[in-house]
Amino acid sequence: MRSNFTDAAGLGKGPVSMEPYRSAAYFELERDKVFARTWLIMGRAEDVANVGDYIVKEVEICGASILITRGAGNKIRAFHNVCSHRGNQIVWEEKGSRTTMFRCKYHNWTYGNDGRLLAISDEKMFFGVDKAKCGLEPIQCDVWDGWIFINLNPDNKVSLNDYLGEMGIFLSDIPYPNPGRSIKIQAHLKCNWKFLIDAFSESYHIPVLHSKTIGPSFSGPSDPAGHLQNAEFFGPHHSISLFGNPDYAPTESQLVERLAYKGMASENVLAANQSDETEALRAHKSVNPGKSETWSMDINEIFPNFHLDVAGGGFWTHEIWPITPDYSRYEMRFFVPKPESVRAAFHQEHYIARLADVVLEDLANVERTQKGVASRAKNFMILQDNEVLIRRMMDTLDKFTVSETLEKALEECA
Amino acid sequence: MMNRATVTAGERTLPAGFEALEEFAAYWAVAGQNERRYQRCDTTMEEIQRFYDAMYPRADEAMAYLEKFPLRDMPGPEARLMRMVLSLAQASMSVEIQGSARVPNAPWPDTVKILTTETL
Repeated sequence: MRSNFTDAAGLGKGPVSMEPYRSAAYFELERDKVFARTWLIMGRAEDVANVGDYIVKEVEICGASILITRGAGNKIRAFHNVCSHRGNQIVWEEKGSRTTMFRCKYHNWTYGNDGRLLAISDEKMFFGVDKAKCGLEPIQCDVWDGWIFINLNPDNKVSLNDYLGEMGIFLSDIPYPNPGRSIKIQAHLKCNWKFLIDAFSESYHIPVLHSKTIGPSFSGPSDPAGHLQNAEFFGPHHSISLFGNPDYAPTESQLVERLAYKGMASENVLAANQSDETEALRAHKSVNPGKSETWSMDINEIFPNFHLDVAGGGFWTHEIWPITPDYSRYEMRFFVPKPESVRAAFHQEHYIARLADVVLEDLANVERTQKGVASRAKNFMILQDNEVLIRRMMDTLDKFTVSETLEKALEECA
Repeated sequence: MMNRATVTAGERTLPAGFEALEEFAAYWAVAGQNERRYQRCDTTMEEIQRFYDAMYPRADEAMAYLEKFPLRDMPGPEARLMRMVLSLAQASMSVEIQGSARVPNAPWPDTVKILTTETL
């Protein structure tokens, strides 16, 4: 058997332990050594498009609620969403826009979107509070290529650019279509977060699990298993390219699919845009980096929990957030154009409906896998070459969980 | 979740010429992608097939008719017809792809939510 990718990644070929998927102790290590000190995705800069816009994101594994703001001078900042008075949450909604200030709904303590404490109600009854020292607790925050990241370690010394390293250079300047408009698919799953990572990290399952929904477009007579077209490895991050069936077309009886795609010159069934709108995207050196003739999409995994997937017809993301060892939050965002006609809305409804079915096929499956692994009937996974990302993720996690610092973990992965 | 499209007193259910589809409006003309997905998943294959068989032959004509109205500001009857066209995309997942009302072997109701920035 071909083992090109696993060799190229410098990995062994033996069985891989299932213990990290079911171990509470390993979960603690993931919290302390991974999520509490790596850079974590928060969203697109367009999510806080205008000065005054804000979003709130949860990092459940670290018990953190994060307030991201765009303040004067267009500066994007992150704070713990916690009032300095008695610790209540300042912002209770997921997003919004307040041009000047945040006011805690408990006792009206008021903060600027730069985090400064502006006013304390009934201040004269306090005992000499130094307002300059009572702002919102800042969190390290930086933007790479339009993506907002935070780092929850206040003593972190690794910049976002250094953290992304070669992966950041590889993916930089991709001309993302419709970065300001997305449709989100959200679900909570009774499974360890890594089953979700794995579910979206290999193509081996596509012709089987998704035999009706996307199997016919991700495999075909020339490659029934839909083998990987390419793989690139950068520190803890990596990128793979998937096979696409160049001969895919809806069958005669798929009348509605034909109607939805009528007048739609698109790359494949995962296209949210017309072909001419994505020419620049497809021309980027790191989109289909192997320049395969039979390509469908790239899976770009930014460690630990962010997938930035690019296809010929557009892009989407997966965020996978651990909550407990066997409970996780999953969010997929499809970046889609704003429909301007009924036909465009009909195409988009069909596109998202199919993807919701695909995602549900994966999500129902991860809960079954959780049960199987938790039963302890088996102790090791047997992985093939096309599952290289799963093997590499486990290898990377093992390195991170034993490394004293983020710097050392990154050195181990170099 | 119990979603039904409502008709304002004195208003037609659907535009003139589409009366034959009126029996499907209350169930299928609901606003919102997540709600339409829910309707498809919360009924039987027989009901989905009945809607599909009635709606598909009129879908192209309905879209041609609706192009004359602003997408985000349609009068009641036109808005309901548009939502039925969009529901056809949902119904087609069962009829043309899965061969069953819902994703086979997946729990229902599931926790999957489609969250959109606007509600068509």
